[in-house]
Amino acid sequence: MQIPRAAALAALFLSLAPVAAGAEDVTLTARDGSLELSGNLLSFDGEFYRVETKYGVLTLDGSGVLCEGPGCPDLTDYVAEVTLSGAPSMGDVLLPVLLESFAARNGFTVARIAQSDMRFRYELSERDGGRLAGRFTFDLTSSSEGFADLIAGEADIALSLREVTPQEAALGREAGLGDLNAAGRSRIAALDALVPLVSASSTLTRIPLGDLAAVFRGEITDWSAFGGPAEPIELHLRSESSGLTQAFAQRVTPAGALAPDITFHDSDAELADAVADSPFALGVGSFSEIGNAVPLPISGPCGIESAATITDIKTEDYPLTAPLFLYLPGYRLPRLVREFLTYIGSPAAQPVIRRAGFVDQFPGAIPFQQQGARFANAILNAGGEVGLAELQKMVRRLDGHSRLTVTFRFEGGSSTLDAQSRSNVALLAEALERGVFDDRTLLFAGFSDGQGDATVNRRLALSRADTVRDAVRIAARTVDPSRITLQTEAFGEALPMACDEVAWGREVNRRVEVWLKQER
Amino acid sequence: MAGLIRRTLLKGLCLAAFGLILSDFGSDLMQTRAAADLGPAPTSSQSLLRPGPAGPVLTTGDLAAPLRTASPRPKPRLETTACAAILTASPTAAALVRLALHAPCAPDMPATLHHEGLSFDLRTDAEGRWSAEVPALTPEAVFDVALAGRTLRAAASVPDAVDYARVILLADDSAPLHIHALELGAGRDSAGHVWAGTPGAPMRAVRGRGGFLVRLGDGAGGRSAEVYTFPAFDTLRRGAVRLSVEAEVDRRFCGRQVSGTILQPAADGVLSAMALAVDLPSCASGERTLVLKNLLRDLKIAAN
Repeated sequence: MQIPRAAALAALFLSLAPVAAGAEDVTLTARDGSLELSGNLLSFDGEFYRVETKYGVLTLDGSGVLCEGPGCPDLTDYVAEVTLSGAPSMGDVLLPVLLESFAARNGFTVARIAQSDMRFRYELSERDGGRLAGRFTFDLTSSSEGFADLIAGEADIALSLREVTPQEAALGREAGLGDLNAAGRSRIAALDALVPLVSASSTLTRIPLGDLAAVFRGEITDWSAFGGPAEPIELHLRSESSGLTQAFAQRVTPAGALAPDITFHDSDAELADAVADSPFALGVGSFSEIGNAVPLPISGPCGIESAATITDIKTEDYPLTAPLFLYLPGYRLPRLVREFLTYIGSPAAQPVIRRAGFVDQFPGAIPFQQQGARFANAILNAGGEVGLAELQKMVRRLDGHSRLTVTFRFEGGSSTLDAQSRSNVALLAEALERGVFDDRTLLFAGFSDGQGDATVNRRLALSRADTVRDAVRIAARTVDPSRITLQTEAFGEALPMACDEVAWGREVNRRVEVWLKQER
Repeated sequence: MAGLIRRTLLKGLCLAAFGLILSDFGSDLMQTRAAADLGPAPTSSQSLLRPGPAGPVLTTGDLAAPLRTASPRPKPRLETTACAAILTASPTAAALVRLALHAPCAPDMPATLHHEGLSFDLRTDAEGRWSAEVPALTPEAVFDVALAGRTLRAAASVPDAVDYARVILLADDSAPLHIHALELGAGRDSAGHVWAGTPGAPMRAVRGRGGFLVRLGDGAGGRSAEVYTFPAFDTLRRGAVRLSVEAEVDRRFCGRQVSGTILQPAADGVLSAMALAVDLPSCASGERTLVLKNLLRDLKIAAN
């Protein structure tokens, strides 16, 4: 019974990794002696052996085989080991808090062994008996270093504030890591956002995104440009290898180099403190670490403002959201580590994430009655192609519904969902599978930007809504389709969230919202 | 047994106005009853502390068992009433409790205080006295002093304990670890920089102006404690209190691993303990201070 399972697994996990010459240190024998394999033990995760053999790298179920040789692990005193490398913004507070609460929930005591703020490890021991069960080592440098360590095999998990670059993905493929862009290779631990920061004594209360870009490109250098005193603007960013700064450069200042005299900081807290300290400072920090500085809403030419709030980051109605990514290796992680990763995505972890100052991904509902500001924007921007009849039709259709915070957006004008939205597909599908929306009706409402013909826009919006609904339906494999109604509708450009005059505003406006029909 | 303790506890509560306890060192039975008389046992709902690796939570059941206290001398014979040891607990300002111990027959003796996860070593003076102001971590605060194999207990009612956020660092074996707080944008060595060198007064917290630090322990090689307190009711100002742990790296400690425990609010706001070990830089590195900014989570103050 065990043998075919082990053999099947061996075949399944056969990979083309090069075989290094060297002494064979383990021999794995099937319990009835029908199969014997020798090789170098690469890893043991408490359940599975990864062995480098003359057939390539094989993964064998430990329950089906006996291990002999000097390389065999100690089966009774197995300690799950994992190294996490990358962004301090994720490793300073968020992951330690999650690890501590995971440990408390699962009967472990925690010890933190610190060499510095950048290098430390957590040891989880069983509360009963004190057996060491897991060792989580953190190496906090930057998103880029995290990927480098993952590719070099020095880390098991990369912590990143941005998605993997094409170059990094190519290097990963060469190193035998497989496709880092594949589904399941990355997951979003929590959400954060880039926020413009000033000190409490600054007179600036909002900033257009274009002006923010101009300031950091060195085109605007003096506060007098914003009606302030004739003083130079002091610029603050996170260090250039930081995912936050890379995301900022990619999304806000894609064309042109950054200004020459920017002060770069090693941590979000340091940046926030430096900005809070000077009335002439302007920085771009993170929502989770505003500290004593003051965040500025981003304004658009049509008068609509976007402030970084928990709801608007969750819905991506705020344009500069920054998902926090965990990139996983191609091999199986130890069970304790997999359980921790499952916990991070579970409903139980979401309040922990929120109290740590980050934005959780738990789908929330925004009642129809709280849509006042959005409907006001719609009325102010109506006219031309969007007439009163159009608005009335939309309000009638959405009345009696609540908007869910899960919203879907697309990568730069394409029909490819962005990273946060791909994560939302999985989250919504999982909620459907759990029966959260059984006997309810979900309306996938497509919206477009205001450029071009309204009829075409409505058609585009409907096709996006259909695409998202289909993606969710496919992802929710175990759901009984008769228990739930998934409808689509398109309102085109009728409910703008941001100004259509600017590219970021159009990107915010092209979206699919999900509305839940209220129970009667 | 538990039922008996609970009954005697109820009977004894009326005596507990100021949490006065008389304990006869001579009799184990007397000791248990005396402790049970006055100490409202922390129930799980009252207890602010989760059992952590180094934070013993005392329950009624623990009282009968002698606490481990390394005593360099033979156990003193304290059998006459003149030898009765007294521990009193009286609330003062900023949810502090003045503890006074008088054990006339235990002069110059080591003892250990336990209160929720907070614990530190102390020493009685030549007359068997010791006193200190100790922060109450719960509104119904119970303090235990383990002295010469016995436990003295005193309780105090401190309703304003919930008005203060506390962060605690316990340092083992004189480990040179200290809390530093930079309050709401304060720079180092400015008025809002609170640490053992400039601990601030409890009245700062009472008036909502800032926090203060209490250092506890005899400093003679055992476990010491630093408790940083910040008023949680101060809602006029918004911002962050930056908390860090600094280790002084001198010739005694360079290249060594020092240990301790930190108690800080977990995600659910409940004070939670975590064992801590710090690998100090090697003696050759020349580093004199190791600053660890992320061991203690910053306190975020939201204005109302």
